[in-house]
Amino acid sequence: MATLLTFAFFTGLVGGITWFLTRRDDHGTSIGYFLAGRTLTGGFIAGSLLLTNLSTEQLVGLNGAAYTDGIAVMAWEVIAGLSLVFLALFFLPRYLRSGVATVPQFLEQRFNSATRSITSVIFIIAYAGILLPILLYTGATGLAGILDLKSLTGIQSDSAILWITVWFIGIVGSVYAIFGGLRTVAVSDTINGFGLLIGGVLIAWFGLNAVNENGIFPALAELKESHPEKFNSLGSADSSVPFSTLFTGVFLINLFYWTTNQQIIQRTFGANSLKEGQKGVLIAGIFKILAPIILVLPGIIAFHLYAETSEIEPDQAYGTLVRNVLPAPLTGFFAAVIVGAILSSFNSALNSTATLFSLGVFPRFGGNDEKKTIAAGKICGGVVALLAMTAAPLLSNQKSIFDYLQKMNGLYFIPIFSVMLMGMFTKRTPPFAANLALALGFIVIALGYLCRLFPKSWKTCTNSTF
Amino acid sequence: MPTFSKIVENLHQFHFLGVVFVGLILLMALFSKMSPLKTPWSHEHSGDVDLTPWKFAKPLGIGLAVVVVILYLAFADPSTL
Repeated sequence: MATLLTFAFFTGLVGGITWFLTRRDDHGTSIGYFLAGRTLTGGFIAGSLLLTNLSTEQLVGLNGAAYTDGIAVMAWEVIAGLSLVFLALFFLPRYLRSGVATVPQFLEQRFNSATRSITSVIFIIAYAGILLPILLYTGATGLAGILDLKSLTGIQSDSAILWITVWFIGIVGSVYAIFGGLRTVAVSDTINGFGLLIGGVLIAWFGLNAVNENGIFPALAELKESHPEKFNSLGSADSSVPFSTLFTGVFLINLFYWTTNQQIIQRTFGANSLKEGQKGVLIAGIFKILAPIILVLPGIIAFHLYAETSEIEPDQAYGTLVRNVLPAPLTGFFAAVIVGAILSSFNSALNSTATLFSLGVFPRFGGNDEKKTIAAGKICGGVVALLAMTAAPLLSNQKSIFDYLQKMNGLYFIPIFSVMLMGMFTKRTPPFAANLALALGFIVIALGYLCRLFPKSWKTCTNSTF
Repeated sequence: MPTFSKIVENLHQFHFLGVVFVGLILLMALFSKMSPLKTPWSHEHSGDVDLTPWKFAKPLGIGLAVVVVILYLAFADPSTL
């Protein structure tokens, strides 16, 4: 009961502070609603970038990968720091020069309106059909895996817990995204960021103290001495991130994700100046390079503490550590932190979906009226949120669909990124080349994934020569 | 000729994406040579926000890149590659 009360207190506190800080915001114009009225300063941009990216997927997944492969998996976080440097120095000055609210708008300025339509539709389908349901599903299952929700809530049914968590996060996230707009999202993300920083570091701290009670430095030395193989930054060929992939796909996916992915970079478009935008992006970069303390180290600590004595799956590593080292009175606070991390990813993706619809698709048939544009965004956000909340719990019975959707997540990255690069680096690449590359890239990558997924049933793949 | 699926299977998933990316860039570069835009694109400033860069942006960016390299070197054990 005390846990539920502290959880409600901290979740409510974030809402209260956010409301207080944003109560006088302008929500009546599309610049105000979709671009935070171009008022965002460095701190909010950094906090929102970090928390939009971070969800339980990394807490559970990356720590689980570290449990198996050691610190080599830090690549995802550390390379993100590098990608943010590219965003600050190369991409952001160009985006802000154009004054756009969405990535497709930039591509329209460089190429033509067909480029905007194609990329808007790709983004909207990917966010509404893949990203949002997956965020809710992995968020809810991750939360249940980290905290013992059954004994905390007294509800015994797994599916009841899944439904309740998905709808709770979905509804609260929708309130932030739909009623508040980008500035509300950015402010609440940043407050949640402080919570996550404290909570995440606490787990590493308590974990290290469980390894060696003389303090964190003797504990780190003990970890490194007992498992030197876990402290190799170069992933071997059979690890989840082989070192060579850092220079091809891992780097590309990361670079796309942090420089052209609407859901992530929308807050940088709302910067009040290039200076504040660069400040925010680079501060986020510093935190990304430090993120392994929260996202990788606990996985290695869990390996040291539990791998020899008990059989745990990699995905249970982080949760097992949290349940063993977190003092009971802090459980409610930590639950609020984790829910905040999921919420902040969900509300950003939802806000971006609405923005892409309002500014990328709606003007085609609805005109340019400000009020109507914002209303269209709110309705789109509401519909998409309801669909995601309905679809997410169903994923639990569809393991193969879930795996498939997660793979598809990377599908639209590469074509959009390649077109963006050509658009920025060349002055004479014609629009039809960009539109062809978008379509062709999408098809080839889709075929590639299908071949991998259904090697036997997909006869056309195995028979056709390339 | 190896089949498409064989090529895909034998490439690590992340390398496959890298190959497609290079292919798309080459394709667009080819069309840029064959039929370039008659007037080059000029990137106008919309005038919405001040574009003066942050004076620490470059030093901090380069500093971050150096830290990443050091971090990798400090923990590198090439014997397992």
